[in-house]
Amino acid sequence: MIRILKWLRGSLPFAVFGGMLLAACSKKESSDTLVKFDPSKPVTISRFTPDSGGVGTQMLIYGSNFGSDRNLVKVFINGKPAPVIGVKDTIMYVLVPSRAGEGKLTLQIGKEGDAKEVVAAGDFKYLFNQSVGTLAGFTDKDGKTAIVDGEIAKAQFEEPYWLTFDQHKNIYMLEEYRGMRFIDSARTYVKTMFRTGNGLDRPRTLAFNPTWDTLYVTNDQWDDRGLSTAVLTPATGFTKWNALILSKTTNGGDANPITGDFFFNSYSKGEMFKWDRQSRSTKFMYRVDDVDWEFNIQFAPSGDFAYIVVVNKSYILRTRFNKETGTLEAPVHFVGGRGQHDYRDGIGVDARFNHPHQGTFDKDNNFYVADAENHCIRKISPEGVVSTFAGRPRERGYADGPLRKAQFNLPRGIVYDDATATFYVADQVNRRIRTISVE
Amino acid sequence: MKAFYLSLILICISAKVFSQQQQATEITGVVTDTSNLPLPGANVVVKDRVGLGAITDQHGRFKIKVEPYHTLIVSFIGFTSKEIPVRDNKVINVTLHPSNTSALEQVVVTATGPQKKVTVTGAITTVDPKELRTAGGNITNALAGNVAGVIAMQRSGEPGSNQSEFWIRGISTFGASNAALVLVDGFERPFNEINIEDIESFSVLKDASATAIYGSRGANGVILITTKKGKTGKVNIDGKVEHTYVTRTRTPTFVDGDVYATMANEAKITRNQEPVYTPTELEILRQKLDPDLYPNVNWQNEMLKKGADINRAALNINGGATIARFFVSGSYIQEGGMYKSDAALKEYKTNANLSRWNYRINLDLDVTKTTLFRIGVAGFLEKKNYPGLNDDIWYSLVGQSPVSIPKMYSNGLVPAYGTGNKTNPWVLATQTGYREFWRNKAETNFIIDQNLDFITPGLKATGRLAFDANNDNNIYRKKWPEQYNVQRRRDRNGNLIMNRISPESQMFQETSAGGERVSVYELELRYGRTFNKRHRVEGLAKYFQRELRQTVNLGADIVKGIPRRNQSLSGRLMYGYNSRYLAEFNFGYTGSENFKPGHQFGFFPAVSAAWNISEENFIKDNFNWIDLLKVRYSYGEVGSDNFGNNRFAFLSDIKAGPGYNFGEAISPNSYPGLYYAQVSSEQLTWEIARKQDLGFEMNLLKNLFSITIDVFKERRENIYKQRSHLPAMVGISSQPWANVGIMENKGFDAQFSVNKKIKAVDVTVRGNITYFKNQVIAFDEEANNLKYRMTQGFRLDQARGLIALGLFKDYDDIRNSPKQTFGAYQPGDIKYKDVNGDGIINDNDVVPIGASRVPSLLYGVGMSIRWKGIDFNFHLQGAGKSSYFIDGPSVYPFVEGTWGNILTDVAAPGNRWISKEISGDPSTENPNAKYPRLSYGGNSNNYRASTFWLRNGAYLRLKNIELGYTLPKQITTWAHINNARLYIMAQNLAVWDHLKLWDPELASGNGMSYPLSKTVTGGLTINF
Repeated sequence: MIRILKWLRGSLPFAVFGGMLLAACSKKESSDTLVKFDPSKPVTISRFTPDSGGVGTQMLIYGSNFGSDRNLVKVFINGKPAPVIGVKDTIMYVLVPSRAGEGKLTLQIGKEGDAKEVVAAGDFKYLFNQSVGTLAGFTDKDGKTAIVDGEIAKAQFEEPYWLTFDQHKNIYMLEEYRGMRFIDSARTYVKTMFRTGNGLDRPRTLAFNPTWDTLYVTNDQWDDRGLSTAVLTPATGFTKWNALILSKTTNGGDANPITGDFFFNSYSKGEMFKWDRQSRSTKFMYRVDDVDWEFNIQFAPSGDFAYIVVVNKSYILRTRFNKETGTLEAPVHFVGGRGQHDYRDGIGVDARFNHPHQGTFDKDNNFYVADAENHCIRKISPEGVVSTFAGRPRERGYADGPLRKAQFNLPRGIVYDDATATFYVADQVNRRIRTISVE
Repeated sequence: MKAFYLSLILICISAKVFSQQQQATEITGVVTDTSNLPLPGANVVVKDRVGLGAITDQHGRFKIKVEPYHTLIVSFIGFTSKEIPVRDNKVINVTLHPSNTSALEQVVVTATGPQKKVTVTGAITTVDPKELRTAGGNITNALAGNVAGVIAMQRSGEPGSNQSEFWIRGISTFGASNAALVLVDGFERPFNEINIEDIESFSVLKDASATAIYGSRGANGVILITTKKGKTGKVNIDGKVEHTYVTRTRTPTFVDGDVYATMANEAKITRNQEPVYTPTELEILRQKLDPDLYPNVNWQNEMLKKGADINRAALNINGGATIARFFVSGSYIQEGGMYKSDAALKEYKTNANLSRWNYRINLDLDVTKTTLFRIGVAGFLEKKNYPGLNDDIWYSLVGQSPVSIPKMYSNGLVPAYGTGNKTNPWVLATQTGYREFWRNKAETNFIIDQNLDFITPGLKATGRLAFDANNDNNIYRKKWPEQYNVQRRRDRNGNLIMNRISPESQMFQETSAGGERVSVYELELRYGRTFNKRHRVEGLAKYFQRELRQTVNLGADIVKGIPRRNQSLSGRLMYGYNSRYLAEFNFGYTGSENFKPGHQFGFFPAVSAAWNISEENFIKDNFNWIDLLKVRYSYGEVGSDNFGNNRFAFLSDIKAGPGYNFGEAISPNSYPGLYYAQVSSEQLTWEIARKQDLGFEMNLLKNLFSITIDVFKERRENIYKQRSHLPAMVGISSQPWANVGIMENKGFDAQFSVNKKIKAVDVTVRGNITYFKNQVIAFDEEANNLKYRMTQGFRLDQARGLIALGLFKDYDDIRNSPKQTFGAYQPGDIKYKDVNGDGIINDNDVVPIGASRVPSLLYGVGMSIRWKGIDFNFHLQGAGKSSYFIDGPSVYPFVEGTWGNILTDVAAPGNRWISKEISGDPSTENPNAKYPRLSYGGNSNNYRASTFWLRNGAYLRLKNIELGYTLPKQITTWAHINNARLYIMAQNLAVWDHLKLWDPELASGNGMSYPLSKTVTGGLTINF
């Protein structure tokens, strides 16, 4: 059988027709020819662009006789080596190194020892811009992690969620459903303060009181007699919590940074409460809007007002703090579209968010909020102008670099250190603590 | 296979036995034509002597050794054969007369056997198998535009899946099946794989009268194929070899990375969003400085070959003596696919490919003088090969943008945009292992024809038996490499940030198999006699029984284990007066397993009549240039019981259900219950087709011109449908089946041919057309006060959408137009018509627009010219009345963000609306542009079914063009060859259409399918 088939196939006289047809139809494919660096010819730089920029800026250098071997090429900006990504004979692509300063752009081509060096005309001016970096955390190649303490370069996170500082700028961080982590002020190590369990299973927010001796942890669960807010104190090094308030579905709470009054909410009824420290009882403030309203409360450093960030309805309200009565006044719809999950920069209620979460204030009362499902950080001026601060809206990913080139993946928490002008971002799905700082 | 060898040996032995007889004498002679010119290459054989024969030389002379008192048969193509008794002559000169088959002599194969064309009263199209040309291994691809009454379309060009779908007289039901019945040598057998060289005749039975004999099986029309049989005379050997080079008719063309990136920026900017790429990034992309992050890949070049090959060879031998005749054939075809393969893979092949080996043996034995015994053995062995994940290839190829991922990362990792059908297309085609489909089919039949003239003249009995077995095995050997994606930017040291999309999978195996066996028994009694040379009476009674038994993969399913059985009794009565007035009555009394016992049989009659006007004396006397003029009409009912896989709907099916929980929501008092998984439909009965056909046939001027026109109307009632709109208060837990639908189908089909010999040039022009239009009369659906929202009253599967009025000119235009409710819109977006005039454009403005995907009009025109040894053919085929929507990520630019390639048609200047702020030119804000304002991430206002995206599927193609050269007799005779022909044939060389994006016949909305092939074939046929 096989023989017959083979014979049939072999004996087909294709030579006459088929061969001719094949010859007519097949063409040789041309390939890109690579130009080699010619050591006998001079290397020139005609220009480079841009002539200024911050770390990670993509720079193109034009000239001649660059060759095509990336390994033979070295570029220095003000003496700092710039990573070379791609080289063609007349153009190359490099990245601006960190803190390069102002100076000459130098190009070396050739083998070690007899490289040709050319200096470009004109100086490169390094711009100290804000850019996004990574403080801690990494994943394996499948994006998986574990809760690992220790030296910061080796530490790992699972669900970074909410951040806060103490007076020494140590970072306390909640991991959703996991527990609380701690990063020291020198940012050298990470340790776990407590793991979830025993009724504190879904910690939602953290807040210190003004004297830094109480750390409020709100906890979300469905039992009226369950834990709403727990407190931790320096006595245990903030590692053991005690129940403070019992209530159900608390999404968030914050202490007034001046008076220390603690406010918290109820999701199922959409209500705002104040914790009366004297009577150790809760006092009903108001209903924010409707039932099943997921929101947290975030006081401005002055303590004069707080923002109510409604996560599941993607808008933010503003509520004034009445110093006389020590209560919060009826909230006003501030920015975002109530129940409209979208992305749009704009003013006030015209702007759109998609599940905004934690925010942080700078000294001018600008509010920077992690717009989780738009995967970026939004900036809200005190007047209600909403713009995009960092990240690429609706493009999730992990990329460091200039503010609007960098990417986040479900950023949830953010905190700002005014002294170093650095933001720390809890980047939940990237499982990392990201930084936004001037570099 | 053994049978094949055995019979070959038997034939050789018998030939030897026959030749060892009496003493032979040598006879010489000359064969001439009527003008006394010698005929070189004529066949001279001795009757009843296998293999004994001679061929005349260039002077027409022959020499042959014969025993006395035998008969010589002299034959030559185009001439009537002559039989000459030898007696004791030594020299025999023969004059042959050109054969002249008059219209009256033409024979048509009908359901009851060959019949003279004049006496046929039903609607039957016959096609000369020689006209069915196709380069691949699938004869169905030759149907479109070749056969009046058949609507066909080819939906893929992939080897092994490139058959055409076809419907006889279009689609006339929305029930379970609208597929035609195909019979090969009288038995229901698939003909996709049949070897074209084996076909003797090809007929299509279209009306109820012609198909009544087949009962319910023939409700959607019948295709009848007979295979060749051995002929008395010298052994004939036909060989054929063919090589075909296949390319694609039309592959969608996409923009390169630069254009893609610029358009992506435009899509963002025009919607007031930040651009995707900075100028520096565009430059990096253009200069290919970072192929990892800014790749620019032409995926089609990476994974598609320019072309592939088809090799085909066929050999058949036939011959025989009066008491035994044989036809033996074998053929081999190998079709190659278009995918490139990884040169490093040696162990297996990934490219799509098909190879098939067909065989057939037909033996006719005259057991007694009145008994003919026929044996047919046929079958094929077929192997198909595909890349492991080939189902996803075209989706991925069309969706993968040139800038999304490189073919390979510079660090050696394999890139992937995503998983499944978003995997790197090159990986899908070459790195995912392979799938092998193996099929073998054996068909055997035994037929006894007994002449019962001794009882009464004209009576015959035939018994038929067939056993077919079919087995298929699918073996999947899949694997995939570890695949990565990369973050959008490098880290500050210039390194890529990789994340793994999919871990590696080593090769693993999955198998599945299928198989069935079929047995058929038929008994037939036929009577045909002419009384007083005028009164022709024919009658037929037939019993039929068929069983199809699934043999593999039954599992525990009892229903699968029950064979499908058909049983029927059918008959025919015909009376003809002088071939002038003909009347026929046919009936089928057929049974079905799908109905309740007691209601299983149905009686379906058909009547037809024909009037041969040309047989009237006044025509014969006065208009002798009219060869045939016939009018015929038929009316009949045909039942259909095809339920698809929902057998036994008249039975209830009871299954264990969730039961009831006594007490609180969570309590231990839960008791399981039973429920009706299928409520019985006891009243189920036949789907009935009432078919009418009016036909007209005419042949003029000694068959110079012939035409056949048929007009038909069919009404289907009691169409099966699952009742999916019963209100809940009916209280049943399943959707029962019922006879609820009604549909009508009207249309016509026609064919003509002109045959003229001008001196030495023989010219034939042929043409045919088929048109149908159906209408749903009753459908199981909700009533709607907007009539146009219902299926009822419209064509089946008619395209429905909004009516687009072009693009919005400016904001004033938007303000002055009804509100559109599908999402935000701007100038340059699509403006719709408010059909119901309520000032709002919503789903209530969706109306039937255009036609259906399947063309309602199919036509073909062809021409053949023959001059001496040279023959030339061409065939144009067209389709009309077809329309479909185009959609998907390549048609709707950036609808899925970074997924989806952009068609060059979208990018072409002037084809889309561009705001003047971007182009700097107000004229680019063209409200009549072909594509709307770009958008990124989808636009629910623009990207929905509307006339804007409806495309006319009409096309005309140069289906076939062929040039052949038959070698002169002088040469062939010298080489002891009877006939040798070299030819070049090309298929699908050109297509003219409205779509322009991909092949219109695919009727694909997004171009995500294997394109049809354009082929060039070179071949040689030799006859010994």
